[in-house]
Amino acid sequence: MLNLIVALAEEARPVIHHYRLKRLHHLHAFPVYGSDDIRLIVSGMGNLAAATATGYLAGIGGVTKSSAWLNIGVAGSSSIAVGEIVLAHKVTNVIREQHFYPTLCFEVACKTAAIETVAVPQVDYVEGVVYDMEAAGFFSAAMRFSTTEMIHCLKIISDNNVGDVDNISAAGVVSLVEQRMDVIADVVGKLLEMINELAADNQGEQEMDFIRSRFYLTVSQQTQLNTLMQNWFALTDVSPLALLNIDTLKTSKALLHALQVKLDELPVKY
Amino acid sequence: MFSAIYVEEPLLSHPRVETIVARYGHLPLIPIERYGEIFNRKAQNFRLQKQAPALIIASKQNNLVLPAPEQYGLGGKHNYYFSHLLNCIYDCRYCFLQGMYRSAHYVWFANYDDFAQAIHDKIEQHANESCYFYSGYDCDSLALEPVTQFVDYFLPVFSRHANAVLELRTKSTQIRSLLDRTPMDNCVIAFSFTPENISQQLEHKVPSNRKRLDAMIKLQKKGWRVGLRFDPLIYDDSYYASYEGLFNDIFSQVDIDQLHSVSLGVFRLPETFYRNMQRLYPAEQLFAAKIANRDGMVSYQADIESKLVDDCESLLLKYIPKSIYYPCSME
Repeated sequence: MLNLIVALAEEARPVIHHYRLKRLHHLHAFPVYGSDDIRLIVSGMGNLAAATATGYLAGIGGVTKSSAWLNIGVAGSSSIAVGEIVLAHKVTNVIREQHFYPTLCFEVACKTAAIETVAVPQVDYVEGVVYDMEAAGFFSAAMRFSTTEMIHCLKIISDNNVGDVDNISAAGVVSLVEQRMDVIADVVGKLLEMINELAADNQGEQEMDFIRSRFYLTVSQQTQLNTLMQNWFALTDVSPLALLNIDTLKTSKALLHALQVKLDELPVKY
Repeated sequence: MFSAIYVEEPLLSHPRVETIVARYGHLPLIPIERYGEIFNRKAQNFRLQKQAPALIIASKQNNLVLPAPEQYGLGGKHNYYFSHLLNCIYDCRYCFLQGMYRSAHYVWFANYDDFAQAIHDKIEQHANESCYFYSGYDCDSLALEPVTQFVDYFLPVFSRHANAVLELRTKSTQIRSLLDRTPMDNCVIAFSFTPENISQQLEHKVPSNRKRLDAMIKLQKKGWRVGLRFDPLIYDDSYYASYEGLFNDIFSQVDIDQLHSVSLGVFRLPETFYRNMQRLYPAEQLFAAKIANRDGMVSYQADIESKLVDDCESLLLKYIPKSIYYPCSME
């Protein structure tokens, strides 16, 4: 599952439209939209809101170790042109002096930048720094559920020292995000590829379910079965159920033993 | 080659670092305080990072030269290792680094003068005895040579100490800097091999056996002392024929009389490393077949292990004298 955390409805709208996400009306704490493999939450502004919304998405289920997290929003910078989009290579919580480093393990069609998350909108920008209000809270929370390769922040520059931060209109924000949907879609695509790569390792789920339905397994036996099943599918694509005469096995102990014997008989070939 | 360059801030003005930063000017350059901010932190996935590792340029402060693990030596009394680099550009599925570190980023320690001083201090401790220094424990000694220029710096250091032997352990063909120099008696370039069919499955991004062997022969012809490392030995149902073929191929081409040393060791890992690696690659055959855990060390089941080692040892000793053979035991 790819989880998108977006502060404002205006920032979310082009993304919701692009991925045809549907509002999940049974969820009330935050507006949440979803499809089969993407969810989007509108968190509201600020670190705390972003962290809470991230935790909320994790809490409603569907999150595994292979889930990915992406914070999309607008930000300010004096040295990057309005309309440019950047991927964070460092996120700093300015108040807590905490640094987070997203791991850049895919190529993107945009620059990367250091993002400083501040509590109130900035008017005096330091050269080279991108300012936002959510990235650090988001990142800190998402790290509880996934690794840093799967957690990223994309920021579209909406203001700099030239313009006035108060003059950014809702329609302007929608337009900025719309114009950068190509890069957003590229990053979303890369994250979905990584999710699929990690999920592909989970072979044997059907067999495990079948065995659990037929045998009572203690916790320790379940662990043993997990290991045996993992080892089995590392050696062959043929289901162990096709090779075991399961009806003759009366106990879970007999099943595990038979599985181990068959496993040891499998050919090892490079 | 790298996804980003992280540099400890005090090193940004170091001449060796400036050159590298300039060469990779198109990559994100991210100043950091200490490499530990990035490397080996929680919430990192070695497997995903390995797809596009970053280069972290750092300065190593302590423990620059350490005693080598017991089974790592070549018969010498005093064995040390030092690591100018953590992690490897190759992606060998059996490599313990995947189980030891959470990060696949390369950490390059650029403070070579401090390493040289620490090496000098150890050599002084054993003034009248020979001691061995291994540089390929946490990395491949030569694979990142165009970036690190490790050989250019450290060979002159060892040329001043005849009683100290430096082993460069590698699967690389980056030998130009060695071919350009006068061979040294106290430097051994040790090449690792597994049979080609196993190499193709388990040694990702590694030069082919043919290319490695060519590099080794070139060095030997130039007068360098070379060694062979068959470690780890990998089991499959046709291992005998595979190793027989590998040994025949290698020993029919190298000058056996000029070989410095040959070592052999079975696939083995501390249990925690094995568990980490299996979690990273659950579909990997290597971690699933004929494996047993004995006293916290994971290797092949005892009968498989002893047959594999005995057979390979017998095959090996058909070609080489026992005097240059160093088995790596699990003890």
